[in-house]
Amino acid sequence: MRIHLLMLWVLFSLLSLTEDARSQVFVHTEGYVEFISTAPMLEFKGVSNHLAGMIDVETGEVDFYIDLATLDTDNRRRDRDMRQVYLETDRYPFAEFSGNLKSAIDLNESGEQQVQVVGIFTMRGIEKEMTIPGLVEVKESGIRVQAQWEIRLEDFNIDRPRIVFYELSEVQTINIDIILFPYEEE
Amino acid sequence: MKKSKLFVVCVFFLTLLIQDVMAQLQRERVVENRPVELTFPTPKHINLHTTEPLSAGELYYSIMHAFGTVENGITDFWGLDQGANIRFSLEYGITDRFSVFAGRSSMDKVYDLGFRYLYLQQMTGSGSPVSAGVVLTAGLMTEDYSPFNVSYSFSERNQLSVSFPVSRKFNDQFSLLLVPMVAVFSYTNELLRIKEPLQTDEVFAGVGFGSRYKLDSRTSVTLQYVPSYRFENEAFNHNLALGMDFETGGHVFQIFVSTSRALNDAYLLAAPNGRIDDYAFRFGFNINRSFVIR
Repeated sequence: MRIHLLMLWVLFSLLSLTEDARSQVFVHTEGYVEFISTAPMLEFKGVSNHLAGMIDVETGEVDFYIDLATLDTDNRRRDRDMRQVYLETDRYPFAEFSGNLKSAIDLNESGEQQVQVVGIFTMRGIEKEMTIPGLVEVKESGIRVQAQWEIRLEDFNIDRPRIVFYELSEVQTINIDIILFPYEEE
Repeated sequence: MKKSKLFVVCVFFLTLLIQDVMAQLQRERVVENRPVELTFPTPKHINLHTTEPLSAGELYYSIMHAFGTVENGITDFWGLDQGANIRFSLEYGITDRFSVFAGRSSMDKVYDLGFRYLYLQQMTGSGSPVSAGVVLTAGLMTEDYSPFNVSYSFSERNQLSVSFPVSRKFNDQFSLLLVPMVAVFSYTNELLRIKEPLQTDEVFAGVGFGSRYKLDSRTSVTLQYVPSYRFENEAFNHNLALGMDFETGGHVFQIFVSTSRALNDAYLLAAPNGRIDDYAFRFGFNINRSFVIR
């Protein structure tokens, strides 16, 4: 009987620990992401409001992904080529980044905090380790995360046409802006 | 003892649970069932209409060429010296499924006007397994026959053709196209270039067959076969073409050898075709480009 009670107690405290862990987790699935292609003749950007992100402030774990088919470059022909020829979104639907914060986020500090994350950026099945600087702002409702970094198409085996000049930059600038809200169990 | 074992197991699984609470977000696609895109890279597959829609506000431009037959070899540089039948055309997307086009072929100086409507769209998940459309083209032959001391009235120079392209992308490499088509000429005789000797049919029907196989992301092998039935002669006319598509990220080049000099729909069914065993193939190529003008 004593073991039984002890067991219940441990289970209960473990569950409340789970709750604690969860209150340090911030998530959202409708963040903003854009890529900017700056070529000599043409600059264009693709945007999406379906960036999904998660930061676990306690463990420092960071996880973001985007369904690449939701990117919109304001030109449907280009979007179609982007999905089918360059990104192959039916085969590789997501671009994702999973990693860890290099320094902790202080939830009690208002104002902007500079952070760095180290992790793996994956696109088209190709993984690349990256360190990305970001700006974090603790708000009443959640945490706002902004970051900018660059990727090279070559690194992800995206072949740009060579026969005819095409207005696509080898280096693409990525910007994200998302407010992550405290994760609550349903 | 049993209870403590259970206890250990419970703790173990709960610990796992905690560690796994949110380490990664569940990957979910925003839209699972999407339209199948780029079954064929352009609205034209060699000579056949495809189901590839233009976007609203997209302008598609194509120049098609078919040279003379290759049978004379280097004498006339495999037919290139004989000059080409050339068709220019512009097609504009009014909606994402409906587009209008105008074209002009040099053979018999035919001007044509038409529309293309996509009524069925193949989906990646549940939904239609094929894409299907309808294309209606009205043509006017404007060749001057006064050197032959004959003249044709306006009503004798009309052509109408309708085609029903149905396509399916089976996988990233292989796409198939079937195009039942009918063409009606208001008048035909041996002077017009649709004729074969003593051929005066005015109604032609056939089923175009097209396919492409992608070798890599920019290069495909293409095939076109159009058996055409002449109602009065009860004879078949076979158009066969083999080619390559090169996608350059802006232009799509289609290079092919074909048994026909025809480039517009009605002539594709009605114009004579060379026999394959007589080397009556011709070189031809299409340049396709689209712009979004909105």
